[in-house]
Amino acid sequence: MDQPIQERHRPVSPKPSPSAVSSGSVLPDDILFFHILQLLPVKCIVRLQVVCKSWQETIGSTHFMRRHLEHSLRARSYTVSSFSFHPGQSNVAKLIFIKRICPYSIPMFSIPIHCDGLILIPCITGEMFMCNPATREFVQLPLGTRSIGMRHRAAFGFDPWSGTYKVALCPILQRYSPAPLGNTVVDTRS
Amino acid sequence: MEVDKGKGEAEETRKVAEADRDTVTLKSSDGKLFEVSKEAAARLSTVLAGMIAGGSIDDNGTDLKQIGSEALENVVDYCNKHANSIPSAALISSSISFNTAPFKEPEEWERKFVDRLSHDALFDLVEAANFLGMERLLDVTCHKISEMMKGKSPDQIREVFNIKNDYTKEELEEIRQELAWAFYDD
Repeated sequence: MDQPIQERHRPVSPKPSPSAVSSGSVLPDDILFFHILQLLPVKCIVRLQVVCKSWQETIGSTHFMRRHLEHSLRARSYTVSSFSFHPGQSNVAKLIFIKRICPYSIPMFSIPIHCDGLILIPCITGEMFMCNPATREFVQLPLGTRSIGMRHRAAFGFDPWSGTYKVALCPILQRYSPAPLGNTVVDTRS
Repeated sequence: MEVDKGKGEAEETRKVAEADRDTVTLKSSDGKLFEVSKEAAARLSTVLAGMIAGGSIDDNGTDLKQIGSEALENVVDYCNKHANSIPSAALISSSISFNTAPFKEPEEWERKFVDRLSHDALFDLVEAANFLGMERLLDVTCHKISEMMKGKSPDQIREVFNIKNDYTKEELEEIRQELAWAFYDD
């Protein structure tokens, strides 16, 4: 059987085979990724993607990310409170501007909602942005189907059945009243 | 004590004698023998606990063909040190028993224990702990390796883990640009 070649001199026992080594590392992948890398902060793990292709593949896999999240959630509580996303403060606007998602204008955004460290920023005008502060990713979500002329409320959560995060947009069935923009969305805070 | 009647008396005597001993003898892949407290071995290693309970411990040295003598010496050393530190460990775990965190930070002596090991010795100890089902030792060694990885550049990581860089120069440039933020210090 082809064992990956160990270039360094290691006077110790031969590798036990089945679970062992597929990325050519000195440790079995299971231990390396799911015992060791799980302990590292996100930024550090992101950097490790440049080590080799198989590391990039594993680190980028949903399975790995899920396990890392589960571990982080159990181990310590991360807060995103240091990111100010409140309307009126300009950080979100700056992000949207920097990422050039909306080249022509910055939509008016409302109170962001969050789940597992992901932040959803719904806008009064219907656009929605998703931000992952840990990886600094910021994307606009597809618009989806909307009932024209109606206000919408956004909800956001993890669906354990499909293993994905889902955003639901629900029209608010009420007659338009000239209340200040944003009022309807404030309710979603509770 | 109920013993299967089909078994010979000699077998029975041997088992009783074995049960009376408070140490077990382990044999490394290169044939060296190590003695370790039976109580500590059974408490710290699920595999050894199973072997002790199942009577498959050999008085003349239980063969552990997967583990070299250096790693086994460290395993035994860890078991002995752990046995000596029971009071403090018990105290600490009882005082934070509501803390359900999966991993408790290494204690001072555990830190010292892994700090003195070379990379190779550490990696071998990780595999030995994994093989023997020693959860705590696996946690402590993996924690040490993760700490050691934190300040290292990709090149240094490749060297430590003996990994070949299989990116082309262009690919590497591209991915580094994509992940540029992760390479700046906060």
